[in-house]
Amino acid sequence: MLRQRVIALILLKGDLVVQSFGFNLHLPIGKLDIVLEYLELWDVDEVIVLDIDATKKNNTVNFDMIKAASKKIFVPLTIGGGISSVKDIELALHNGADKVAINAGFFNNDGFIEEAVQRFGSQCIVLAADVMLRGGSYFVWSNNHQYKPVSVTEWLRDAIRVGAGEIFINSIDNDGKKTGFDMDLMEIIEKNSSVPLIAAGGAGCPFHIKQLFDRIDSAAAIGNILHHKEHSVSLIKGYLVAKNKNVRGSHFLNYNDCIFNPNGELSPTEHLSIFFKR
Amino acid sequence: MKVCSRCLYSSNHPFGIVFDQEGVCSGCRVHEEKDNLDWEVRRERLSQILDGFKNRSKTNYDCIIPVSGGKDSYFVVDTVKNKFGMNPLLVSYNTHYNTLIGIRNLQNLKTKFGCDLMQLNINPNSARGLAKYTFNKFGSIYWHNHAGATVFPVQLAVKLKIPLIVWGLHQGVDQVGMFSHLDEVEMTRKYRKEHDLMGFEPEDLFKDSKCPSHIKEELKKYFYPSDQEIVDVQVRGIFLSNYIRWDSKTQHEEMIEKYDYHTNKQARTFNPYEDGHSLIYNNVHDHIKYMKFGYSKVLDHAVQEIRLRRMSRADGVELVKKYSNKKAESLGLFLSYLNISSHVFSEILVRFEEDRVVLKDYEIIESKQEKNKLNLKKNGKKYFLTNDFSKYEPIMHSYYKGIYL
Repeated sequence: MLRQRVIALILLKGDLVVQSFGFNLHLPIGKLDIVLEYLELWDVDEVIVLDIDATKKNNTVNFDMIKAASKKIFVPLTIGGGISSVKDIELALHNGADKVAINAGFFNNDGFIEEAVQRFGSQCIVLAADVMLRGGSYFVWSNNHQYKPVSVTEWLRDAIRVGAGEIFINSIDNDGKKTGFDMDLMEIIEKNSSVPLIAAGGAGCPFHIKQLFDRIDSAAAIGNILHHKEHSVSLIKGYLVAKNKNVRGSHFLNYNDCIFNPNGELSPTEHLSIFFKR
Repeated sequence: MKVCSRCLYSSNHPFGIVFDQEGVCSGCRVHEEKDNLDWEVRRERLSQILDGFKNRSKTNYDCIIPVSGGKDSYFVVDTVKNKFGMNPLLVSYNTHYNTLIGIRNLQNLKTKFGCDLMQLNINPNSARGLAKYTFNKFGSIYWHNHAGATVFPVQLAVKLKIPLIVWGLHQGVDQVGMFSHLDEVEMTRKYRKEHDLMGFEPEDLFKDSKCPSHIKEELKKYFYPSDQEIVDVQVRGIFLSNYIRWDSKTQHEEMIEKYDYHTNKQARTFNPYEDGHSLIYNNVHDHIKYMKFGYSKVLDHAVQEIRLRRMSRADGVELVKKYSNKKAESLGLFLSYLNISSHVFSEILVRFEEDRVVLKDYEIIESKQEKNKLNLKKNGKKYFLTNDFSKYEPIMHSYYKGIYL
């Protein structure tokens, strides 16, 4: 079995990295290049950068900024935000992206995806959906509810038909709640999909990622909690390795042998003072 | 330029800021949590965290508290030691340019609370060299002090194997709402680089080919401990403001009352409670900040009071206007200390000037903000107390006759 990936999901509003709560409240974090510089040190497996305002503003993600920031990392980088043509994909790949994430662009018009798959290969096309639970079933919403929602299974069928390399599913209901991933949703996707899944929305502590990995063979995308602690990614990985999950451990920042509380966070350790050592 | 329709922050805030559809900034939105969260629950959470760090073998301190004697130090020490029964080690990085009041407040702090204090005193001549270098490179005379004050507690935590550092207020949460209080954000090296150090870590400057070699030697003192050391000791830095409903003014008033904290009148802001330890912080440094970003400390202080509903927005605008252009009184003194002329000073400064908020912008927005207006609290104490003694010895301070305290 392939190793399960811990992926950093970085949201941009224009040039500013933000936290997101329920797709509604956004809080400023800072600059993209500095975020990426530290994620690289903290041994993240992949990075997804999405500009959440691009489509609304009829724009694409700022490629110049991506180009400069992408020099800070060496892990696969996925770029999204307003990508809606083969030309946009080409631009993204030329500016340091390894893959592109397409959300509204696909929802709107899936014509260009097949062409893009032929030209660049399906490995670099990630189709993304924001999903909401309504009346007991899951629907895909796009571009701030501008388009009519479609059922998630229907969307998934189309995504696989046009040749998506990976599927990125973000739960609108769980976004920023820190209550854990939407397991039912992710299970539906996993069951009906033949391509790798990236689950997002709701990770609040390392335990939630273990919970996801226990039940579902997917990658975990974590957003807000990346920014809350020193070595955030390495801490999560230390816990996952300690729990025998199949992940790429953090090599230099090794928290594997620490004591964790039930949430998977570090329990305090006691040290003797150097004054008392002989 | 966008200005918040509730407070006075604008889109040029150096931390970055987000405005929602109603034109209210992220800082004001997070500030709403001060009235919405159950702070008893938050306090309980703090108590749990601190309990976990109590050193049971009694062979080491429980935590480190970084102090300057000029800000929230009294409140933090009072809370951590007296309210939660911890055994803290106070750690202070001497930022130089001290006022007598600052020196007195710091010594009074360790005495009144009965705490051990470790202080790092960087050789004043090298501090001067660093100030000159960073001012020339990116227009900051205070960078080395930020660097020292943010790294020295971490270096000590690693050396003395004390895994917890307790900071007071998280500036990012307080000003622009970078995190929700519930995020319980902790100290990170990343935040230090980006926001405390304006994007330049000492390690970065060390690689600068134009950096003189004697400055490089000095920079080493400000290097962050290695990641490996942080992992080994499992150092964590928490912020009290995530667990206690922060109200800087009221807290200081309590400290003045209980522990004889001394206030110090400030040249460029109306709030005499903060930064009274420094001759240049709310002075030359603040003046430079204003020239660079159109953003100065009086704005932060006014916003705090507006959000806590003790000051109307209109009064806030008046105060910002009044203080923003105030003279930096210690400029002459500081220039002679740096040994540069005022001509060279302005020449360097002009290189770093950016887009500034025009004070007119505040008035334009004033008319539109009815809906988001905060109502003033009826019985909030509006006026700041003063008990400073500077009037007795106005010229005595730390660079008096070449003495650097």
